[in-house]
Amino acid sequence: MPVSKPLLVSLTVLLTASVGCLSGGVGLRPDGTPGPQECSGEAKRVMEALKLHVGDAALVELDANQLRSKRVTLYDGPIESVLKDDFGTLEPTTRLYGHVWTGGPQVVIRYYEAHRPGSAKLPICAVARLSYDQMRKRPESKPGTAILDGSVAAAYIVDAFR
Amino acid sequence: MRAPLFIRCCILLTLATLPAQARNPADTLTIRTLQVSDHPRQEAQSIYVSGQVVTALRFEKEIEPTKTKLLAWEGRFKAPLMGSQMVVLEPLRDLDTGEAIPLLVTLVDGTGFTFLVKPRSNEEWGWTDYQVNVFNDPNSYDAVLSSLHNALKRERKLSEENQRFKQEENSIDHAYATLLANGQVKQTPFHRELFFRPKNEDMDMIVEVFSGPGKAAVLIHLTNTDYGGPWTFDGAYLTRDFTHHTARPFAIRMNRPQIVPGQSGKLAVVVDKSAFEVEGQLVDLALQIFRGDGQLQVAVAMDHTLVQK
Repeated sequence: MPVSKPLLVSLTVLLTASVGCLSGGVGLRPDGTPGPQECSGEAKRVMEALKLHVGDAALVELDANQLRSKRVTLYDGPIESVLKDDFGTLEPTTRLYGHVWTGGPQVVIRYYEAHRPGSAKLPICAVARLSYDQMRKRPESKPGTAILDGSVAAAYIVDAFR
Repeated sequence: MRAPLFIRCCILLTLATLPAQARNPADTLTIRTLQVSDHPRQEAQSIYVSGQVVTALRFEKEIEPTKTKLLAWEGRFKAPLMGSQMVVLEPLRDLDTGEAIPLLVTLVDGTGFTFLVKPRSNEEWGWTDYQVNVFNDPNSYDAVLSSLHNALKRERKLSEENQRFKQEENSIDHAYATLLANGQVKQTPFHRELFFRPKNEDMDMIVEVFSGPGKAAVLIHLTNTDYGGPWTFDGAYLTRDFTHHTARPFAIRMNRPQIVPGQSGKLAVVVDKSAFEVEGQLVDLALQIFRGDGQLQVAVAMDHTLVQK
């Protein structure tokens, strides 16, 4: 049975949409927050060597471009955070590279790499967290951005992104 | 002797009504001793006064009222009472910061004293003079007795402080609090549970709450951003319902006694499991930190589940 070209195109678009949009290589939930994601075996081995265990946490300056700001604006996409405390054997000023999702009511930041001063990048798995709703976006945040009160949060080691 | 008797009555009456005039209960009213020496390097002694609070200066000998005067007191003070062995001053209102009014006192034997009457300092050490005992001869009986009392008072205060230091020296909780306040979290058995940034206009704060075996801890990072002056610690309370009846013990340490504008400091509190226990049950507690001006700086909820078995 011959299928018309326009129908084929619309079917393809529909199929892609139903699978879910991809952002930073992760499937997105309907509210724009990232779905589950595995932590690679290599990252787990590196974290073991760095004495970083699940639940370990340290303070980070969320954006290296907005250090010590009263209010920070985060954008969808990559982010560079800076460690404020020792984190396993990682020293303060170590960079944490990750990805920001501002779609949901709260900002989601996942870290995939740690970059020590004068050293190579190391794969890790960590997320930024704060208690008492403090990763919640301020209402005036424009689409694709998230304004937060304060430039500091805590990075927590995870063995998978959930 | 009718006039001096009248003056004495006035002085006594004024002194009797004194405490009611002190406006702020936090004002420190002091009775102190001044040893005035004739040495030329001895500058004029300061007398600290507050508005509508009576300050009495007491001398060893009768004063000579005609040669005793407070310069330019009109409009600032009630007429100074001078007689017997006393001079009594009462400012109508607080003096301006930096204002110093000379007071000249001459005793009947011709000995002269110069004082500077100043407003009570707003610094932590500030006080209002309630009575100042002035001695010229450091070897007189009264002068020696007064110095002895001063020394005893100081000794009692220091020995209480010493006792407290001795108790804290061997306290594990204080040792952990010292480590936390100095950024040595790794050296403690504590594990970070949660972080948050309490909202405050004057001070930037980050609170870390820790759990540990048989203990819980809180570490508060404070940065003086817009406080306007040095931030000082006033007190901490660990309670079940914000009342003194349910106050519980804890160990506290700060890495610096005050935080000047632009500076950061850390305050650590360690709470033993026993503090969470009430009649065999574990209860939740709340930690309150008060700052130098008496305001609540931060309150932190300490859940009993922070204490690990």
